[in-house]
Amino acid sequence: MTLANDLRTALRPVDPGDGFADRVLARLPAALPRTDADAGRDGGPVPPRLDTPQVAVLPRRVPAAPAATRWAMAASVLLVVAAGYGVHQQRVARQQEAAARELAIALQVTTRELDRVRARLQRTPAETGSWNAPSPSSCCSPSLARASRWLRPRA
Amino acid sequence: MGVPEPNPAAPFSASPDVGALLGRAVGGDVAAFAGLVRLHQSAVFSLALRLLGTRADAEEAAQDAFLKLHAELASISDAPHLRHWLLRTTSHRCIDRLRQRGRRPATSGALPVDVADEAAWGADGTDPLLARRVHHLLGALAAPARAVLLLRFQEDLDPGEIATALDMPVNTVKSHLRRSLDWLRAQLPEKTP
Repeated sequence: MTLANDLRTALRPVDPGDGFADRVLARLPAALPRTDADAGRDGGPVPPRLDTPQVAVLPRRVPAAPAATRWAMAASVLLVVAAGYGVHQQRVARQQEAAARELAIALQVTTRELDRVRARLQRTPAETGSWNAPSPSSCCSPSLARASRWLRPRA
Repeated sequence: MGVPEPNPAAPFSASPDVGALLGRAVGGDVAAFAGLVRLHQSAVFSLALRLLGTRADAEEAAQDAFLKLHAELASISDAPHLRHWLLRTTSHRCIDRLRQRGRRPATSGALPVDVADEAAWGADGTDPLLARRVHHLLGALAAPARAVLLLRFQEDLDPGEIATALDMPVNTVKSHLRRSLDWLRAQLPEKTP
């Protein structure tokens, strides 16, 4: 005999013993439907047969809302986000306008101060015949005093 | 009910009743499902016994396989599919169980032998010494190689079917077969190739 034949002979199926099928059936789920024969024996009604496997379906944690409600909720969220963005944009625009106004005022004040200093500097040598510049600290702010020193004609 | 009695030596696909039993079992007929169990119990139990080594483990694994079959009956299309599904499920379950236990047959030696099995060897006309020797030699093989050998020589599956059942490439199946047979031949020097 060849080794393959020896293996086939030695590996013949082994019977699991009497009652194996009954032990399997005993472990089947308790909700198993009865057979027609079972129902006929005790005269009870025949239960509907299961055409699909029994699958345990866990209940949803939160019941699903209708589609219209879900759309309304989504639209509300979108509306709140859009409104918030609009308010933010308006606030930024107001801040920009205020900053522009303050800058314009500051430029006007500076221009006026410079005109005043320049007029005073031009008027003083003509009246006295010599350069007699006023003390910077007495006529204007320190920054304008520094500007007047810079504008003083060189000897 | 017309449920046939088991015939361990007959191939499953040869039984004309399997398809009808399957259809009735899918419809919820418990007696038909019991008939399917009786038709396939020898193959499933033998495979589990020779993979796990003891009747208790094999009984549990075989019962688990049939319970899983009952849960998935609707997905079984025909008799050959049923047979393939059972062999595949049983093989995977037994290999997983061996891995979970950390058993390494290659290092732990031969499979344990139940007294009932030892007494039964030779009862059906087979050489009891040969059966005992093969049993011990199988225990020295790693689980995947043993499963390949069992599906080939116990269930007569070809390498392609074994590859599908065990989720391994065909070349790996052939490699397992070649190495296992070479090793067995070396252990049984009196046997010709």
